[in-house]
Order: sequence, then structure tokens, then C-alpha cells
Amino acid sequence: MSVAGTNAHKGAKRLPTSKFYEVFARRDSNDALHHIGSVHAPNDDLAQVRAWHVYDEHHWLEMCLVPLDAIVTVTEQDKRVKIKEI
Amino acid sequence: MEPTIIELSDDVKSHLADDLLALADSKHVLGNWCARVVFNGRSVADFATLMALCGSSYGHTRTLYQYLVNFGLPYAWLEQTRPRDEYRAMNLLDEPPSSWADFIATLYLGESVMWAFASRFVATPLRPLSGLVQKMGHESNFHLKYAMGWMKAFDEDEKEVLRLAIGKRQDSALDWLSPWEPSDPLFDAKLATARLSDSRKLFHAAVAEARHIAGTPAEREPSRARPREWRMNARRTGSIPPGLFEIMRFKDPLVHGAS
Repeated sequence: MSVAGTNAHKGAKRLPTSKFYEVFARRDSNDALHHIGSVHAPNDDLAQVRAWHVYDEHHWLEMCLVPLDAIVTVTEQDKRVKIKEI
Repeated sequence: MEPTIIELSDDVKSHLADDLLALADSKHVLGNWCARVVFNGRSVADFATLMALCGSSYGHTRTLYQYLVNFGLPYAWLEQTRPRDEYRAMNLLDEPPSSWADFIATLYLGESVMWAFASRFVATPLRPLSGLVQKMGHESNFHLKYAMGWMKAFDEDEKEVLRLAIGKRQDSALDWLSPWEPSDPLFDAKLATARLSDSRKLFHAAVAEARHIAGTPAEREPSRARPREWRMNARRTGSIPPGLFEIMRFKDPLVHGAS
């Protein structure tokens, strides 16, 4: 039976609106900040905690988050969205 | 020269051991709470976070028990063989959460009151304790941020439950800082670098912040009368409830050689 055909969603608590955050971290001061993943959270507080606990594979010297909507795309290889047409 | 535990007077040593045991046991129960509510989380990331909160709370408990061995308390007694009336977890955690908002409110109040209390020892001259509390503070910061994040994310219906939960539980959390008690032996002995009255101000500010998020006005710091059956050495009234003890107690105390 497909999930779409059930009433599984009825009565479920509505989730708060979430946004995406990209997660960057460095292990030591010689290391550059690397993109290590992303988290989905309703606000900055929950995003910080989720990132800290989900990406805990190293004892990071620094970890920071960037909301996806703060990223200004310059180019994307496949779509070439920002390449000016001649 | 920095003091060591051996150099403390029996009276001060006993007060410090009592307070650290109350802290360790409260973290133990809060860790259990986090384990129990994992599947009430709202996403897989929430499950992971609740497990981490649980793990770090247990970690604080274990480290504090280990530190308390320096006071002559046997580790097996601390972790495994204590009777019900020797568990010192705070009254706030006696009643299990009745909803997600109640859990978040209690997590916030419990973590706030414990940090308000423990932060008195960040700069204690007992260096091992100072390091331990600093590490705890770093992790408690994430516990508080988690509760704060959820309080901000609640819709109006859940904020209403949050308001009721804070109103119902805040006095019991404050009691842990014994607001009726004028003496402060650990501050007088220069082991704590802030007074308990300062901890109460910190806690009151934390409650005011939560009330603001919940949309209810801050209250003046309440004056609390000493509850009947208050046990100062346990920072609680009576014993922990039998149902909670059944969860807390180790079912096989002989595992670690305790007799």
C-alpha cells in the first residue's frame, strides 16, 4: 500500500517552517574551512545544535553555518544560470 | 598555592560533595528524560540531537561521580547500589513531561538552574573541578540553545502549553537554589566564586527570557518559603518517586564488583 493512499499524515503535528543551512568547519588553524554538510532547521539556534551534534566526527576548531538563502550563486556548471548569453 | 580536596575542612568537604552529587544525579535523570523522548523528536536531526544531549548529560554524571570518589565515596555506591532516598535528583524532574512543550520547558529550566549553580565553580581554585565545569558549560550551552530554538519555533498553540509548563515548574526549579537559605558555605570557603544569590539572579534572567519568548510577562523574582521535608544535603524534598527510582536503579549491582 502506498503511503500516499493512507491517512498517515492526518493528525500529525504541523512542523515549523524550516530553512537550509550549509555547514563549514576546520580541524585546526592550518586547515581551510571546508564544506562538511548541511542541516535543515526552523531557526539559527536549532541549526547550530543540529550541526554540532550531527557533524561530530572531529573535534572541530571552528564550525560555522551559512543560510542557503544568503549564498549568492556566481555560476553552476550544469545550468550556466549566470553565464551571459552572447 | 591551590588547595586540594584533602586540605578542606570536613564541613566544607561535605557541603561540596552534597552539592556535586545533587548536580550529578539531576543530570542523570535529565539524561534519562532525553533518552525516553527521542522518538518524540520532530525529525531525524532531532533524534540525533536528543541522543547527543542524553550522551553528554550521562557524561557529566559519570565524570562527577568519578570526581566524588576523591571525597571517599565508593564509585559502585554512587552509580549502582544507592537506595532510593540517597538519590539527589531535583524535584523539578520528579514528574515526567506531559507534552513536547512541557519537555522543552523542563529541559530549559533544568539546564538553566544547573548551569546557574555550576558556573560558580568555573574559576574555583580546585583546578580539576574548574576544568570539569568549563567542559560542562560548553556542552550545556548547546543544551540550552536546543531548548531555546524549540521555544522560538513553537506556534501559538504550543506557546500556550509552554507558558503553562513554565508557570507550573519554575518555582520547583528555583527551590534547587534554596532561596530561603542565607548561608553560603562554599562561597565563604572561597571554593565558589559567586554567591548562590547571584545564581538565583542568573536563573531568574533565564526564566524571564523564556517567558518573553512564550509571550508572557516576566515576574519579579519570587520569594520562596522553605518547603516542608526539605533536605538541604539533597537539595530536594523527600525521596525521588518510586517509578523514577525503578528507572534509575541498576538492576544488576554486582556487575562492577559492588557487594
